[in-house]
Amino acid sequence: MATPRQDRDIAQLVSEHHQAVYRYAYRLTGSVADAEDLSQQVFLAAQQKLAQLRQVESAGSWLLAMLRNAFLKSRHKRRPTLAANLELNLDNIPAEIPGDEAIDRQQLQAAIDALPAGYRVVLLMFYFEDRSYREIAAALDLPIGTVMSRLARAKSHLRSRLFQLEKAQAPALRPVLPGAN
Amino acid sequence: MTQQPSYDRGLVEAIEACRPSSDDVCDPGLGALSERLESNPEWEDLYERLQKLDATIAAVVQDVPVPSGLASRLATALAAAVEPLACAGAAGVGPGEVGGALAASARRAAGRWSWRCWLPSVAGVAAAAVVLVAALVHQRANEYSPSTVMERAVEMFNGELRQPESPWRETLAPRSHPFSAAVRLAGEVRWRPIAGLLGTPGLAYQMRLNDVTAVLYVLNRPVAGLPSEPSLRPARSTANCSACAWQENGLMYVLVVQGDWRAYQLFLDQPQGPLA
Repeated sequence: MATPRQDRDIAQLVSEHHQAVYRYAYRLTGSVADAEDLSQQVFLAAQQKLAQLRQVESAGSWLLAMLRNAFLKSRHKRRPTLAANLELNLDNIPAEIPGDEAIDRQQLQAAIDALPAGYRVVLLMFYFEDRSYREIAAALDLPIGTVMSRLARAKSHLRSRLFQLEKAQAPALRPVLPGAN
Repeated sequence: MTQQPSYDRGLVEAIEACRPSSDDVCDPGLGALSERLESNPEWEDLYERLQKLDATIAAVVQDVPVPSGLASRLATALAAAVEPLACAGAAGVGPGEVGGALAASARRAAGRWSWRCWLPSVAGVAAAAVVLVAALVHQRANEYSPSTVMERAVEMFNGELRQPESPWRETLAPRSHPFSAAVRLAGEVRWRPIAGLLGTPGLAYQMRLNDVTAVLYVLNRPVAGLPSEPSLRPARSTANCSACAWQENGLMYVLVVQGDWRAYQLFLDQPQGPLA
C-alpha cells in the first residue's frame, strides 16, 4: 500500500510529467485513446516502482523509458510491419527548410504510424527525447549499427512522406542533391 | 568538375545520426563524416540543411495537444487503483509477485485494461460512500431529541420577542421552506431567514392573530422521533408559551405560540371540536 509520501510523490510526478508522457504516448500509438491508456499504465507502474526512482531529476526519462517498454511489449504480439521498403535517401531533404507551420501534423503522424515499432521508437528517441545514437543503443540494448540504420531509414521515410506531397504543391521545397545542378 | 556525393551507407547513416544543435559530428565514431564535411562544401550544405530540418521536425513531433482533464483523470485512476496483490489475485498471479502483477497489468493494458482492475475498487468506494452518508444522516437525525428541538425553538422565540435578529419581511417567502398546511394561515404573516436554530439555516414565519404572537420555524433537517403533524395539545408548555414540533414533506416545523394551549389552538388549521 502506498504511503502518504508516495501518494504525494506520484501526484507530483503526474502533475509535472503527464503532458510529456501523453505526447510521447500519442506519437508512439497514433491514437488519443491508446495514448491515454498507455499514460495511465505508465503512471500506475510508476506508482508501484516509485522506490526504484533514485533521482528526482531523472524522473522524466524514467517515465519515458517505462513508456517505451510498455509500448514495445504491447506491440510484441502484433504482426510486425515490414521494413523492407525503408530506404536510405538524402535526396528528399528540401532545398529550403520549411517552418513548423508547413508540416502537416496528420501526415507526420501517419508517417510515424507506418513505421515498424522498433524503428518508431528509435525515431522518437531521436526527435522527441533528443537522445544520441549511442544513448539509444544503450537504452534499447541494440548494436550501434542497428540503431544508426533504423534511424537513417526511419528519418528518410518520414521526409519522403512529408515532402513528396509538398513537392507537387510547393516547388520551393524540391530536394537538392549535393553536386546536382 | 563537381565532386559527386558519395552515397556511402556509412556516411548517410552518420549524417542522419547527428542531432540538431549538437556536437555529435565530433563523435569519434562519426570521424569519416567529419572529414567529408571538411573537404566537401556540398556535404557541408547538406549537413546544415538536415540540421535545420531535423530541428523543425523535432519541434513538430513534440507539439501534441494534451486532452483537457488528463491530469485529473490520471490522478483519479491512480487513487482508485487496487492494491498490487488484489490485482495480482485477479490476474492469477501469486501473492508477493508485484512485478508479475505489473506485467499482468501491462498485458491487460493492451486493450482497455484499466477499468477491469479498478472497477471493483470504485464500486467498493461507492458502496462505502453510501454507507457513510447513511450513517451521517442517521447520526444527524439523532443529534437532537424532539424535546431539545422545542426547547431551542422556545429560547429563540423568547429572544426574538425581546430583540429580533433581523427585520421581518412581508414579501413572498422562498419556496424551499414553505408554510405548513397544518397551521392556520390568518392575520399578519411575515417571515425572515434564521440561522441559529440547531445550527441549520431555515425560515421563521411570524403570525399575529387576536393579539397573540406565534412563530413557525421551518428547517430542512431530520430529527428522529417527530410526528407527522402537530398535536391538538402543545407538546411543550412553559410559563409564557406553548410549542409543538413535527415533520412534513421532509421539513421540520416547530410552532411556538405566546400563551397557553388555547392560544396554541388558534393557529392550528383544523376543525374546532372536543379536545382529546
